[in-house]
Amino acid sequence: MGGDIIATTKVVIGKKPVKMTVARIIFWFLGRGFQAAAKHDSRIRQEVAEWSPDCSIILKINPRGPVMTVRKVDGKLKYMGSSQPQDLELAIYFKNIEGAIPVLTGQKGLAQAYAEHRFTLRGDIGLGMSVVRCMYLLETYLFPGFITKKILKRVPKKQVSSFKIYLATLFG
Amino acid sequence: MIPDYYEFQNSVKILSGKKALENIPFELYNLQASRPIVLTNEMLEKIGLVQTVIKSFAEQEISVGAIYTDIPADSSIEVVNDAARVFREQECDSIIAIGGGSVIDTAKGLSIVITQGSDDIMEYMGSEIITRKNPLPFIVVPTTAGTGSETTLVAVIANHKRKVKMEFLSYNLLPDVAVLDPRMTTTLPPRLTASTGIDALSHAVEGYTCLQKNPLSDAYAFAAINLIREYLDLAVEKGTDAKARLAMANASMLAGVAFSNSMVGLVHAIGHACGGVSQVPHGDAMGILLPWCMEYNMDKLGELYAQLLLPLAGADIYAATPAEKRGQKAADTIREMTSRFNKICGLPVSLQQAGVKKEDLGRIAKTALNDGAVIINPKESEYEDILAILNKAY
Repeated sequence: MGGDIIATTKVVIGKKPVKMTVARIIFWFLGRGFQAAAKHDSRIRQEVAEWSPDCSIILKINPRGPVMTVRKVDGKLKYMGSSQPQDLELAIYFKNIEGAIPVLTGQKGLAQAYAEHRFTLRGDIGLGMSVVRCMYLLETYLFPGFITKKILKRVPKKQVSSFKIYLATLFG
Repeated sequence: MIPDYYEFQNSVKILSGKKALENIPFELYNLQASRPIVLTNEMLEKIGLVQTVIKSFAEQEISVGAIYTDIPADSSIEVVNDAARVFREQECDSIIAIGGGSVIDTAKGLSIVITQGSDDIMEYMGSEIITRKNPLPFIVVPTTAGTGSETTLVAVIANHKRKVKMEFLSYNLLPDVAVLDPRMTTTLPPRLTASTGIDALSHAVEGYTCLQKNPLSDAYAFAAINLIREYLDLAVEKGTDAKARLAMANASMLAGVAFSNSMVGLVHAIGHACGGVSQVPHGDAMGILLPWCMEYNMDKLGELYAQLLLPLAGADIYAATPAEKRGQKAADTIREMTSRFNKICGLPVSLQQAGVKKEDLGRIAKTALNDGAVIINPKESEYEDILAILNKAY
């Protein structure tokens, strides 16, 4: 009996490169898609119009996962890649990759993820709600109908075709 | 139904009953503190409730560092910073909050400033941002039975310069101890007793039905509604009844635990907006909006509302109501309750009675959309949906 240490083991923290890569790719699509949808959908445009000038928002997977940043520049939403500006107005941090993947791959809605404490939110929750509404619209364009029916409480009507948003996402 | 995943925390120690106040010094000792700052408001000091608490410390080793009474109805960043200045100047080591929602929110704000070592609480605004740092002993003595703030993870503090209400959600905002002593609520007038009691009911109903509901929060919500059905009328009609007061203090606390873990939805989103735009007292707004929002949610949440008919109306009415009508009956039971209080003490039952101007309904709907509670409501609600509810409630 007692607290003698009879062996020591070096604990190696594993990596999840596949899931991280998937998240990185989806973040790119989301960021570019957000920029495209903000151009073509008046409801997202309206939401962005009410954000403060130069408003920066990031979505990040903690602790060292991918980052997606968008910023309001001259009244328009711009995807800024994975830069992390100092003057952030809102930051949404997924607690880990396992909590993020179901949301990013359309298996779980944002509202449900929030309910399950999958992410934390730094900043004004009112602005967070505006971003959530934008995300609902964005998901309507980027995900097929059978997925949005499952993850959204109510599927919004599209103002333009998903094809148009996809084209703008891929080619600007 | 068991959720795929949920989180639950209620770490608050509850002291409930006669002479509960007298145990505060022991709890401070237990938390290794001896020089608290007492946060309260002028009215509570004037009517002697603060003295009741201080007197209960007689013959015990405790010195009150400061009594801070300058807390308005809406807590603000300026008040929090000023209280922090007094806390530091008087070398206090703990917080005792005596009051309702605004005093307790100020205490939570003070706790953020002191434990995080920062004078700018703006940087902690949001959800689950505050980490546990330099824990500060924190005791709450509620003087209303409605907000449930003594067991919730949320604080709302106004930033008048930026004209925003900052929301802070963190399990690290939970107090260490909540003291429910019937002496603290016996002087509450009938009108306020009804309004705050309905607030507790709205917490329990939304706590039982919103997206984060789980078996633990369900149990707390159910227990709260049972106590409200049994004791709220008595507390309104005979305020001196200590048993009714203690039961309602417990109901409020239980509902607080429920909604702190399952969160609140549409009723609160619209209710907060009614308060912000038209200064409708929170409990009044809850009483007016709750049945209307339940009817809006009925197609999605009818089964859960049906289950709530049992604690809301009792076993006889539940058994006598056909299963498919129980959800609607639950909403009707709440309407009957608020109508009763309307006759007894003038609790408003419409937005018009609460002083809302018809032309403000649009602004209220727009404000409600940006409330964090909207996302937690299981049924989607857009501007038009909220406006329709407001028009019905008018």
